[in-house]
Amino acid sequence: MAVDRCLSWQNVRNIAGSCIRPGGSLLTERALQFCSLPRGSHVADIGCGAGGTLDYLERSGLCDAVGLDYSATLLKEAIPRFASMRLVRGQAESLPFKNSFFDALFCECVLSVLGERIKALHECVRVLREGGFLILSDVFAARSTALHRPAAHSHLPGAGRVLEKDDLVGFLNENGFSLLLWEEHEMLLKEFAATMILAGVSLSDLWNCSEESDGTKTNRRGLSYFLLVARKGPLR
Amino acid sequence: MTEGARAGHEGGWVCYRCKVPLEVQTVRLQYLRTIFALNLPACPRCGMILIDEELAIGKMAEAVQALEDK
Repeated sequence: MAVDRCLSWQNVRNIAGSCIRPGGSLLTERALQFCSLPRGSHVADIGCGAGGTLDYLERSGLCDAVGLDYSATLLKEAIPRFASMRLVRGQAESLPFKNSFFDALFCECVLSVLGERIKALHECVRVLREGGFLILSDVFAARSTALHRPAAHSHLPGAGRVLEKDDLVGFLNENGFSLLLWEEHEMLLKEFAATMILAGVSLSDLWNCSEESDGTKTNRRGLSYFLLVARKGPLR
Repeated sequence: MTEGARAGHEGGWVCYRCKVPLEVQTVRLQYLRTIFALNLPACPRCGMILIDEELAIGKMAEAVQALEDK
């Protein structure tokens, strides 16, 4: 069952602003440099939250953006600011959009909190047109944080397990994407964690050692944050 | 801290130098290259900021640890 994963919003917003993720709009801006999007492009922000990325896209004036989030609390915060944009309440695992419609999809700091990551990624593949851009950023295991990993595991396991680059890039390759950019931003993750701590938000699920039900152990050291841009289809 | 401010009546803090009550302000703290905006008691006259012991050894220490984790 999907959960409205809204933190104590007012407190977080006061400290971190409307982009509740490492780097804020800095990485959004960086990713756009690798996407050749003509004016009027159809863009969706999956997990738009209170609209930090939508704010940025609207200011850029280059696209017709749609935001989707499951949190009614965050959408309520975003609605008054986006008269010209569509905001939709829905789940990343079941996108209410047509096939091959979007020129670009943003999914920033969202995959790691989803229960069904594979399903969400397949939905991204479905709604993105050939030649469209997928922009992902999230926490991942930069060094081998898996102290013990069972031999039989599926790609991109569910919530609670840290993402790994090989799994993610493997999925994209298998689904016909070309990787345009992979960057690691460990310091931005640390700064974000420190900001959240000062805001009184517990990030213990992310930062503390944990053990999964299948025996996989993770350690907060070695976590980093990636920015990925991929293009649906071959490199031009 | 005790030289900069003292607890006034009703538990409020008063700037020792300026003799005026501290007011909660949004202040910017820098650690290494990271700047944080926090709401903290500060003297409206001289700008002195009060960081109490609980914040210093609690959230601040935890935040510093997060920044320094290798």
